[in-house]
Amino acid sequence: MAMAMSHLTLFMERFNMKVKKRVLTIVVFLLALILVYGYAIIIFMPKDENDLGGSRYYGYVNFKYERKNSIDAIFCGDSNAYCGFSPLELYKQVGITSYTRAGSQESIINVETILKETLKYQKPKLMVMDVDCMFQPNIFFSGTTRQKFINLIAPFYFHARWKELSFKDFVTVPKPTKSFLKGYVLERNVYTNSYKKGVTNLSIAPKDLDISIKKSFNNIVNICKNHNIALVLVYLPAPASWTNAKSNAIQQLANEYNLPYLDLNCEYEGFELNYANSFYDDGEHLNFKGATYVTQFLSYYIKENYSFVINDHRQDKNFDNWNSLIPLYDQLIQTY
Amino acid sequence: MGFKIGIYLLLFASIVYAIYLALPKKARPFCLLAFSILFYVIYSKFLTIFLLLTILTVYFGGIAINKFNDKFALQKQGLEKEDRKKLKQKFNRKKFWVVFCVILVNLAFIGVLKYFNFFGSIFEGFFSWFNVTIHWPVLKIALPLGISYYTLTAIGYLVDVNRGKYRAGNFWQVALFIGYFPQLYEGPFARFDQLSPQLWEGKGFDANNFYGGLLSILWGFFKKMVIADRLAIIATEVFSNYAQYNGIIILLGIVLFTIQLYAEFSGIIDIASGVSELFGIKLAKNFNQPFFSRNVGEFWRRWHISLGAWLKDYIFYPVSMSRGITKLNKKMQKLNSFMQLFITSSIALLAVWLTNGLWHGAGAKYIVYGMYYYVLMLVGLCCEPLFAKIYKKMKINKDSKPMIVLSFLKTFVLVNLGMLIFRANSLTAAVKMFGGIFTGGQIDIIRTGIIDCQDFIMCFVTIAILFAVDIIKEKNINIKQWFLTRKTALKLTIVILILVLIVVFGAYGNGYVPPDPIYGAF
Repeated sequence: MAMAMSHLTLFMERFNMKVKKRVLTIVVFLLALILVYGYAIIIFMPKDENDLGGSRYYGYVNFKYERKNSIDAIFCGDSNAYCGFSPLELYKQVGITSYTRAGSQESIINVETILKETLKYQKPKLMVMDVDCMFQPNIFFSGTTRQKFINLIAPFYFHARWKELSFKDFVTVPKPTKSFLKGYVLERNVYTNSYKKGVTNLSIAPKDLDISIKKSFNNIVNICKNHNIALVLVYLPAPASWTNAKSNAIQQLANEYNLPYLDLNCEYEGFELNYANSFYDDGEHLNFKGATYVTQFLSYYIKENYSFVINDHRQDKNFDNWNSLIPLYDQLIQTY
Repeated sequence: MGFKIGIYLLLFASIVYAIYLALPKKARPFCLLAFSILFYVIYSKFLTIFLLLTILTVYFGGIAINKFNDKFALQKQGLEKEDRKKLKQKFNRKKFWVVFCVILVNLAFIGVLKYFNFFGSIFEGFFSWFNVTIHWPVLKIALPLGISYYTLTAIGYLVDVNRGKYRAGNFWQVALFIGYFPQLYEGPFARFDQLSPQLWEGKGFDANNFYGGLLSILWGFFKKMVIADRLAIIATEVFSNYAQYNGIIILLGIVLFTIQLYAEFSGIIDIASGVSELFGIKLAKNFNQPFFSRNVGEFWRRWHISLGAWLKDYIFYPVSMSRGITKLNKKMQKLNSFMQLFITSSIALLAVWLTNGLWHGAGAKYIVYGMYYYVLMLVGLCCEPLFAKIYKKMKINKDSKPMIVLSFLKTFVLVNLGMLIFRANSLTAAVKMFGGIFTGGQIDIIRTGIIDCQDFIMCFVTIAILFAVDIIKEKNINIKQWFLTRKTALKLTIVILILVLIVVFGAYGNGYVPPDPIYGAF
């Protein structure tokens, strides 16, 4: 009996040793994996706006590093918005400070969240919203939450940076600073397409909008009212997805809330976009040529209609940092 | 869609795998069946009805054949030889009609869903010759997932039951055999006697199956996402806008498309085989280093092996053994044996390559694609004695290394011409592209803006890896066996390393457009 017990004890000891060794191996392996993955995040994260994917990432997250209450206008919406509104172009034209607060596939529900977040840092007097976000399905991750998620999956999300990795990427931890392009994502590709501007036809039945979309829209209108923000609805040129039904749905809402609505996909006085060279993909997102033209058009629209609430800062010394960015911006545009 | 189907299959399989292992052995095959149907419903929605109809028709067809076989066995007892022969003929006729009707019904499904518009265009074209305008209605319906795969698999099963290769299975066996989810997307074509026993074994966790499956899945993803999707950047652009390019760039586009197709198709098969291996189920081999083929015949025995084997068993042999061919053979007894073989083979091969072409797609170019290989096969067959004489006279050893390499190159060139027909937007486009190869023009692909320098270099680095692995396999070195005999830590390190390579160098996400899998449309 005693012998059997001693055998059992020996067996248990050996078994425990084996289990302990295996558990230790797994723990060490997992720790090493986490460390390596953490380092991979540092390597692949863009270090500034010039890196691949950097302008889209930093344009969004660096908003909070703008001087408090220094932004006059905000541009909101989905990817069409961040490719279509260039704040530096607006400043260059009429001296209005602005920021593009938009994200890929952001729905109107997310725009509401982003607006609330923006108001914690800034007191804009004007909000220009690209209405394409009204037709986006609501996605789980949006705004800041999405950016945090991107941090976690940086080696996947920014994997294409393998092409431009340099020594700097292995030894530099990315630090947030002020955004140069102020949320605008400059796309240089010119996609030749044969789209033409649409024709307004109010007789086509408007597209049905979901109650949740209407509710969010109503919330945005109320927030703007409460904060004295003028709201302008714009349908940026996107011939690939634009339809009369969608436009008429927005027109209906604009009439209901008495809001200005500019559908730049149709005939609009003074707006003559060159469809052949203004898109970087097949008729959905504007490239720098299209964005420059659209922003210039909107600059004069804003100046004409909202100059009583927004000042020209170009002679104001408090905005010297903006003034100093314009030559750099011009240089960037001219290199393309 | 692109790699999404692979990711979807993998995520789906992970859930099924966990549930499968938790269940008792007897319940595991039913778990596979339930999830296979769910997989199909998620993907094809109401079109699942067509899969279910195929299962039902083939199941009842098999049962009917079983009953006729049993009746014959019962009734033949005590009969004279002559009467037994007559009785057998009677039952054979009945069985033939069962098989004929089931095949007809199933071909009708695929005919309507896949070929309705194609036949309509032929019909309209035919009447337009006589200045008669016929408006054939255009059917706008998505194809049920893998209809070309499961239909042929089901037909093969019924024919085998009719041939007495095995007795028809019960409903669950037939349903799981036809609907087994890893093979539904791009095959390979399964055989009931090989797959069904494995499906019903209900194997539990096995470390070798797990690591072996994982390696196949990762290698499949590497081929699809790192190699094929990157090559697609060049191939898609060249084939879509061929008029803008000339000479070497068109040639490069065609060659890279051939390699893209190989990496993509074999990659997706590797993912399916790897997923299946997790469950301890081995799928049929579909590729065997096809670019090491000395002639196009061998190429088709190494490329899409399960399709070639299916066509051989269910088209070539039945046509070769048909009454018409047998009679023709008798009439040609005066001719020498080579001519006899040539004439009968040419008829059977015509049926094979016509089916092969039509299986690949509903369009004239696919028929031409099949006919291209048919002509090559016939020329090969015809010239074989002539070349043998030339080699003998010139004392050339056709098994010498330079001759082997030359024959590989010859086959590769011929296969690329076939791929040009297969991939070009139309036959006219194929002819124009072929002509374009021989014209000068831009040779710097980077300047054309199709691809950047780093991606272009990566194309060739990864092609080198692909061919290096094929050379190792051709030398009969079993990489998987080597991998499975390593220590766990090394196995995991290799797995993570491949994963990192896929994540970093995969042609997905920002800056890359994932292309649709080419064989996924069948």
